[in-house]
Amino acid sequence: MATETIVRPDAKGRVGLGSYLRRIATQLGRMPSGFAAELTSDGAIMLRPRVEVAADEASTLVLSVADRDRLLAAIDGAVAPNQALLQAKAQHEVMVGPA
Amino acid sequence: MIWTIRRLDGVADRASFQSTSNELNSWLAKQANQAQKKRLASVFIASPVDQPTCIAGYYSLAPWQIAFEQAPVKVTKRLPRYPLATALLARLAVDQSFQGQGLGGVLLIDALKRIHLAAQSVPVQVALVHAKDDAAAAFYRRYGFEPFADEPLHLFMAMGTVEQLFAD
Ligand SMILES: CC(C)(COP(=O)(O)OP(=O)(O)OC[C@H]1O[C@@H](n2cnc3c(N)ncnc32)[C@H](O)[C@@H]1OP(=O)(O)O)[C@@H](O)C(=O)NCCC(=O)NCCS
Repeated sequence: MATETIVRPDAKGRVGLGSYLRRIATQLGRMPSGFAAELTSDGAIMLRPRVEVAADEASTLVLSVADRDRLLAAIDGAVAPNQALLQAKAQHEVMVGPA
Repeated sequence: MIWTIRRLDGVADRASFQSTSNELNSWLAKQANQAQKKRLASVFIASPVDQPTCIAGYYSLAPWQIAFEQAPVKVTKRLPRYPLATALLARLAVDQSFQGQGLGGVLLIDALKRIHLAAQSVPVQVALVHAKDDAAAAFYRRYGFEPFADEPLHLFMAMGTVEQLFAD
């Protein structure tokens, strides 16, 4: 079923959305978060509901300004691996057989 | 003892794995296979060479990205690609009966090596780890991972450091 609708302003320029909103909420299973509105050639308004999809924050880490600057500095001037890392690498060479 | 490290397969006994973290045990037993099938994560397991069904330790890798709350033009101009392509070491655990033998460190190196190799084909700029608690964060700090000030359980290592580690 189409989710867009065409509404026509009355003589005073008002549009009624009550029944449309109820229908669309049932259809979408939730209230839309917004509408795209387009004026049609005959002066009516075409409404298309939008539902905001939460960005997949689970796969993005968003850094504060201070952390951003630390990270960029670290990328620019990468430090040498420390002793513990070098030792673990030597241990990996001894302990891991061919994969 | 010598370990082999391989991609999680149907041979390994996932249900018997017992680290000190119930969450990481349960993820391996119930979700790891699906996560790998759906290409959300790659899971690697360490077994003693003569016991391929035994999982002594495991880690999982996933693609991630790092974005900034604020990215002034000056910053975005300098960055070849934004958000930053990131390789995430999401989980790492060692079975209790194998702890304290250096396997945790070996798994960490193995993960960094795979990230390093992958980055030669599909570049990434940062290696990131998720520590599940303070003790896990301390484990990673020991190896030079730096915690973010506002996200202390997220620790990073610049790929430049990883490259130096494997340069020879
Ligand atoms: C953390 C964990 C992976 C370490 O495994 P392990 O095989 O016992 O570790 P290793 O034997 O390789 O230890 C290497 C070194 O790290 C040190 N270390 C181990 N755990 C540490 C911790 N929490 N903090 C600081 N150092 C730690 C060891 O003392 C050892 O140092 P040494 O070489 O000077 O003796 C393991 O304890 C574990 O599975 N914990 C539960 C899950 C977890 O916390 N995972 C972390 C990521 S979410």
